[in-house]
Amino acid sequence: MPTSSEVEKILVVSSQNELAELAQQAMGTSFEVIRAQDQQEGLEKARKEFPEVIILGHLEPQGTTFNLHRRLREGWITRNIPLLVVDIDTADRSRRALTMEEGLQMEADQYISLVGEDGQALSRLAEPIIRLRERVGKHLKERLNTFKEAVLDPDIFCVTWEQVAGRGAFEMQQEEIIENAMKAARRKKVHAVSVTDNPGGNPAISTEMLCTEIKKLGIEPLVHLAFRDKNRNECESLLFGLAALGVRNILMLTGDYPSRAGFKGQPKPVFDLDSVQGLQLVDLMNRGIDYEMAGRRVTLAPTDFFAGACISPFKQHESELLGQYYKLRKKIEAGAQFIITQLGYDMRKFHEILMWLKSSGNNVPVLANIYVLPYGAGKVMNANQIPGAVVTDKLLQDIDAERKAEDKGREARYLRAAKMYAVAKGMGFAGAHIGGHGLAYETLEYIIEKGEELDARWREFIPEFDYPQKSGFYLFKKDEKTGLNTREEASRQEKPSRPGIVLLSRIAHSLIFEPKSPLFKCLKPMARLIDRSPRLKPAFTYLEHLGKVILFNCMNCGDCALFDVGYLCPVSQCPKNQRNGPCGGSYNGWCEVYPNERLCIWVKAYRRLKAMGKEEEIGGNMVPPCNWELWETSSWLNFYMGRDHLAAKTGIARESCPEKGQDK
Amino acid sequence: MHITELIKQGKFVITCEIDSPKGVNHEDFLDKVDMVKESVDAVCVGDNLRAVMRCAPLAMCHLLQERAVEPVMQMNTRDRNRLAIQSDLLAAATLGVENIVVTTGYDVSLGDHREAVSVNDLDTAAIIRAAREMNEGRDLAGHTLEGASNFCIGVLTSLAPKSEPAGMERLEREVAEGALFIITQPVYQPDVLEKFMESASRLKLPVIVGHAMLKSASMASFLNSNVPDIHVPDGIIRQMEGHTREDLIKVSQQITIEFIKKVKPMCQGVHLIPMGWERYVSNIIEAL
Repeated sequence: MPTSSEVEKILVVSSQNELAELAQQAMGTSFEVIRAQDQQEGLEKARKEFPEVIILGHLEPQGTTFNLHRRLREGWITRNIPLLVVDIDTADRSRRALTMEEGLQMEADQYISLVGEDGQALSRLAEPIIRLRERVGKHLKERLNTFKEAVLDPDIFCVTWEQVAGRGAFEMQQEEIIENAMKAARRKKVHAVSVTDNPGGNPAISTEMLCTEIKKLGIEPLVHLAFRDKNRNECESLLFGLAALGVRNILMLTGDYPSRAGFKGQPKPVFDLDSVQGLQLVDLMNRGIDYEMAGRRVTLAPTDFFAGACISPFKQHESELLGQYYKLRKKIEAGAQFIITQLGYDMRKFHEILMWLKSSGNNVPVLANIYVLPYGAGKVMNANQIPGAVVTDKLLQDIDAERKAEDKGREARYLRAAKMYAVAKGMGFAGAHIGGHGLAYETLEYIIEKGEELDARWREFIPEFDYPQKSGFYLFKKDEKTGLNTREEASRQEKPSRPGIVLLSRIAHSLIFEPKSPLFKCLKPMARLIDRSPRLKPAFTYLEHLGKVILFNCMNCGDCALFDVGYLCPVSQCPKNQRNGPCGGSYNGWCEVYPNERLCIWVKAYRRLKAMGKEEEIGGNMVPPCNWELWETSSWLNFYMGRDHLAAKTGIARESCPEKGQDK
Repeated sequence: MHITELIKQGKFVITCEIDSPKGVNHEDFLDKVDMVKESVDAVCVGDNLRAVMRCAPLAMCHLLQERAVEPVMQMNTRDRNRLAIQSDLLAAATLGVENIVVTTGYDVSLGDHREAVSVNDLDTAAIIRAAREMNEGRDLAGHTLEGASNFCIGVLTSLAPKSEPAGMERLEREVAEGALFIITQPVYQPDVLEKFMESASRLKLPVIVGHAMLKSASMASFLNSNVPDIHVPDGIIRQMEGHTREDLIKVSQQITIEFIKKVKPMCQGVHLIPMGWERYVSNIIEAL
């Protein structure tokens, strides 16, 4: 399916030229009318050109139109393309597209009979042209991704509703998701229903499958894709499936670390891709994956995904927060078309994202996360039991006070959400991503309506969302008048690490691994010698590993990322193996998986790089996923032989692995 | 049992139209009969339906009788002269096929033998007279027959606004010649039937309302553009748009169920044309 910048295509299959002319007249120059004269050509073009609509007219001999109509309807590639059967000049029976028997068995989306006057070409008449334009237009409109339209349209405040998928096939949680989606589809206040992917790292019914069902209910689904449970092939395969079934909206997330609720124990964390790399994959798929198979170039049909990512501005430390923004920069560069925030209640933080986008010259729409927060959930979040979700002590106290009311704080809770809606809209967010445990559709609609009603007064509510984290860092200085941020950046006072280790590592690096250094020029032939020696190579690999275990706790991935993470190993020291920046789960600088025990390696990396004034590198350095072909091989040899991911940067020419015989 | 007998017993009669096979294999026809026979009172077989050459309905009606399913045989004015019509009626009577519905039949130009000659030796009223004469032991020329038939004669009528004035006149003649019940062309709007029931009330004949299942929005539009006597309202067409195949089957059944529920108090029965969706007939009847 073509992207919006391209000219949209309409395929007209008919042995009568008049129909194609009519279609071109009806649709104008923003559409390309592709013509096919017979069944074979029609079928081929329908499969290869990805038309937005297929118009089928009379084909010789009688019966061909019906046959082709059936094949298009049943074919995997074509079955979801709107199919219109058009009869022109119906007075002449032998020139009709379908016989009576065929017409009564028709499965096309639409049948139009266009009758002209005697001797006049239909394409000169206004009425049939208008009718055709209307009918084709209707189908084009139905194919639009209404969520994408809403997100990208500055005049629409987009609303998504988050549903949490639960464990089990036939449980009330699933029943409620479908019921909610049905209501949302009917009432048309929500632009997309999003479904979480194994939330909290717990096993749950597949979001992909639920979203496919939700799509059928007549509302756009938003699939969460977490990289915790799927490797790159599984991601690609799921994405192909979703594309084929017309599910186009994806939210790419690292994913919470697997929980202990798995079958017979905690599952293996995958994290083969991170969200930046996932976005790159989708971007590639949208352009049409191009690869070589058996010496032949194969280009896959482009997909039509609308992919977004998340950001958490609710971080306490400068190092934590900057990591989030550096990674966001990469996500946008990788093709994120929208952003959804993590859960939080500090409006100055929400505002900060918009300010960062503006100051960094990025114009990506952002949806503000609005979670309807009851005391119980607040308590859990306050205790950092939901990774990344920030509820401060003060907020928890406020909710605690509210629940003493007769309605147990319900009204206050809904009102808070409505005010967040109003403020988010007022500040310039593209929409709201609304969630809440057991939130009824009626409540959601109340929040939207109330939010719209309070919209004009949004500035009044800002002080109600003054929930800073303890000595929390903000990117910009506070604007005391509004309670939000000024354009002036705050000074970054966080103490860098002592430069010792990094400096040493850098020096060693520039001596040994810098292609321009004299030492490199001596080491390279040595490396080649070792690489080609069946006796030396295993010994060298073993010794290198041993040394790196002592220094970096090396896991022998063979595609070393020490240079990318301030000489910290993301394979051994980041439970989620993040090579492009921090995940959203850190808490007061601690790792999501080891709170109060281990610092997030990206916090450490920031501090190390800051010591040399190089922290910006985190946001500039796009790291590809680990190449598992190199697993348990010597990363130094891989480096010198140009086999690892750094070759793309250093320009070291690739030399194949001798024992593998050929360059894979 | 005669259709009129069933109506006299106070039953809301349900007949179902199943296409006669185009060819000599009739397994498919009988499979479809098995799908509907528990739910309907009679199965109706068309006579070269929609001007497409098919197996003569008498053979199918005979097979129906062997399976204890009440047959209704259609007979058109288009394909036979008065000799053939009368001899076929005698054949039907001989085999015990007694429910006959008389119709004009579609124009040959719509069918699969477009060069065929349309006979129209007798019109519908004349065929009805022939059958009534046979019930009295005579043929159309007044000759005495060996024994008399026992036909229950009905007529197929259109009630679309376009042909209504002429239609009502024709219907009156048909009733005068001995038609005992009326089956209508497919209807989709209860108010159209209501109007017809008002104007037909003076005929004092039971009316069985026709209803063909809609298989897709495009098929419904096709009916509107290509079949003069049928009109599917836009609302129903819209209701059918944008569904998957599976959902469409449900939507279609629902449309039929709702229609029948609405017309049930107005008429004496429904003539359901499943258009190949015989397997859903029992669902529909159960839902009534």
